[in-house]
Amino acid sequence: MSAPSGIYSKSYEDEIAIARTPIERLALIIGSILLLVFPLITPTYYSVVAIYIFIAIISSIGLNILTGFAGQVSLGHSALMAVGAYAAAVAARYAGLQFLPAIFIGGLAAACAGFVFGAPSLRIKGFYLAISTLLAHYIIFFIIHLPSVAPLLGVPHGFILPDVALGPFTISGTFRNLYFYYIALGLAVFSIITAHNLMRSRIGRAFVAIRDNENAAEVLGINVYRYKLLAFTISSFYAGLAGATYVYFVRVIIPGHFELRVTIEYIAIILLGGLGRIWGSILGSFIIIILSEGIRYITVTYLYVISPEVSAYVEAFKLVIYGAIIIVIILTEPYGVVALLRKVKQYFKLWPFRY
Amino acid sequence: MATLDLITLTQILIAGALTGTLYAPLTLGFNIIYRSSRVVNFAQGELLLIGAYVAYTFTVLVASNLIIGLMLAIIATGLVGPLIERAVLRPLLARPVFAAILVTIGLGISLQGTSQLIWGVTPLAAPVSFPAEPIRIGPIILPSVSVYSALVSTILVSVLLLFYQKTKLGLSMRAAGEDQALAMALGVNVRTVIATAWTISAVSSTVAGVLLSGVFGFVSYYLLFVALRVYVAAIVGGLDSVGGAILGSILIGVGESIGGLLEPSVGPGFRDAFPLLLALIVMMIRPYGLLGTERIERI
Repeated sequence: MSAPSGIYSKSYEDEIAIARTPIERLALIIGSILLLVFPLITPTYYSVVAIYIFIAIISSIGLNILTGFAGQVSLGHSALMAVGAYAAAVAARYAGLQFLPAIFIGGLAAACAGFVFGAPSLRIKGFYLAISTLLAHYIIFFIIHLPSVAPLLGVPHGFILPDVALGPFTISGTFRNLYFYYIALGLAVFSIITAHNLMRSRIGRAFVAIRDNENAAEVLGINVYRYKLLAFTISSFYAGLAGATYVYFVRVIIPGHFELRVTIEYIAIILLGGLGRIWGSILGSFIIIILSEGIRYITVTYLYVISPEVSAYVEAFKLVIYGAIIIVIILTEPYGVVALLRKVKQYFKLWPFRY
Repeated sequence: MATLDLITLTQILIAGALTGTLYAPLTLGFNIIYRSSRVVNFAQGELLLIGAYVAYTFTVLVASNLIIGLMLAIIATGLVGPLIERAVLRPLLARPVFAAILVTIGLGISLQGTSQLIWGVTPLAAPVSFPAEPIRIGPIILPSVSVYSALVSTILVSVLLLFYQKTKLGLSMRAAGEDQALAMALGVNVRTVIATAWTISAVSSTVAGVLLSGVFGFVSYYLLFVALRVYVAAIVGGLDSVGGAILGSILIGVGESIGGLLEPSVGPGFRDAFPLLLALIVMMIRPYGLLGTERIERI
């Protein structure tokens, strides 16, 4: 007697496990080991890029929850990251908070702001919501630049954040990037697991129901407005966490870190990776950050030699690429790389048959 | 604030309304695209930017004559419309609104990046300059830039409205705006309609771009910020109403002036932020805009 085919779970714990098959478990173990030794065996530059990827993962998970799962278009993501970053910076500077409590406060502050961003979603949707979040973005920046607020926040010249401290340990000096790598990795893993579990719970299912058909969701007994606000709040928490971690890593906080192009970058990330998939955020962050670093690297190292002015066009070039990615993905593969990979997997599974 | 007399106030309000008239062709361009294809064009600001840059190129670098240069620029940007329709929007027919929003965002930032790659990031001279002498109407003094450009803008808007109301193509555009499928069944070529809408939008954006760069005195990506006001004006007025587009533009212009007036007491940047606040309030109370029609949703 042979075992039944397919994935066969004998208990509920098996059913909900993140790695369900031996291959997945093996991949998880090998992946973890690789991630843990990666900064030890590669030059620092690669760990820095990896840190950017981890931060992008945290933030894009936030945007994916809102746009991919709950179906609400938001153009205010970078402003929420800014709120988180500034809240953490203020908490660190004026209240002397340590790294973890500070970024947590950043997340909470962004969540509160996100709640406000989401308030118009009661009556408006689609394009209108996109515009209202865009307006909210500019209003946040207006508030940051107010003469009564700006000096406190060190706007526009920025201020330096304290070193990252975990309990009695302060992370600075030569191995700063190495330690920060593990911190960012931990935060990214935390975000992935919490988001993954949240999205397959009652809350996540409600988000998907609202995305697929708002009226039907309401008829099913989902309080649409409450869940939309919740989506904004949860999404913003991740945005704030990422923003705070980012400024801690680059050590200086200026409003320029959180311009509108950052929002565009995150939209490109979740679209490329796959809307409504946590995996999509991970893959998208990986591809876009490496692409963006690659563009910067090539321009700075190779094109700079030809003409120093060229390096001024890095951002412009990135914009063209992101725009092209957004257009091509939507027109050809609306569910991104994740869907593409699934097709590839399906192809090999069925090979040599077509279907 | 105590020193503010009635004349200054009128002057500021009129100046605001004139600025609003300047936004009108752009808002109308946005509106026409929405009405003919139900696509919200997040690339409107980039059309304006490209228009202004192309006008700069043709007037300064290609043709020595201003009028010929502007004509060439208008023809060139007019060709961009059908191109965008064919490449980006036709595959989007019958796809969710969400996809269209993101595609126009993508289109916008691509155009923005391309414009920076071609024309650089340093501001260029405005293709058209206006006399510095202010215009006086009784006790009211107005900068001639805004008066002349408001005049041009009004003419353009009137021509567009005439086209929309009186010609056969305008009629089919309105028909497609009412109900795309029905219009198609009645023999309206919806593709032509959408391509025309994009052409009109691109051309009126170019005119607006030339005028606005005349007001600012330079062409640079700062012009993109105007686009935000266009979206806001379109929302305030109502997305599907031509009258609403004009009313919204003027209201936003006036709002900007009032914001500028309050700037000393609130903080720098309030001139730009006040219209946005106004728009948020309008969106909360009348999401479909002042003159827009309320949508009824069916399950």
